[in-house]
Amino acid sequence: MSGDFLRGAIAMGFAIAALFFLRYWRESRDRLFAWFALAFFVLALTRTLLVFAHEDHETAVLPYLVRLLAFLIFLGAILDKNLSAFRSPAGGRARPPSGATTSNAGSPPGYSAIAAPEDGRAPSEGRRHA
Amino acid sequence: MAALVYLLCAAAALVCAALLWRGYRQSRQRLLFWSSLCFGLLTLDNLFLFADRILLPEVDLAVYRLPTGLAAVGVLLFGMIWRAKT
Repeated sequence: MSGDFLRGAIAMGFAIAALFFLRYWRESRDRLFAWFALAFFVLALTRTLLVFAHEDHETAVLPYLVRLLAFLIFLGAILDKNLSAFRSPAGGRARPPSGATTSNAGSPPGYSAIAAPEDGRAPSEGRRHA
Repeated sequence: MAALVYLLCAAAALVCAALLWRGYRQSRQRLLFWSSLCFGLLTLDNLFLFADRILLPEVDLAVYRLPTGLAAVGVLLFGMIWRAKT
């Protein structure tokens, strides 16, 4: 019973994280956030399915294949962000000259967007590659 | 087949954690720190799953596995909400 409670709590947590990333995507239109939102929704779904699965089904590999798919989405999203940052001229500025002082100045290619500013809002397009 | 899937889940989570940690080391963006910590704990969660189902099937490791998963999502939500609050 407590196991089901914890599985439910984990599923809800993943769903909330997905909603956060969905908000970041809506504000920034950065597809990294959209992929993260999708992957967290998939993780929430698999954890929810495991709550309702019987023990025999829980040992089946299918839910964990879906979980693997979610992790591959995360990985693909991060790599895609890095590659697009390297390809685009703006991404080339992700490593600014030393002495730059903007908050995202030190962000490595591909990660400036995932880090929302301190007020919790997703970075705007103009700021992402600052 | 199942063992391979569990290990691939752990490996993918570990690579995500490493890439996010590298990003944090270079940018010092706090959300990257919390995301990296989340994926690190998810790696541990998947390793516990592998041990639970493959290495030690007679022992129920859910008592370690589930709190680890909850901690993983907890630290990520903490990081997001903390940023929204400050």
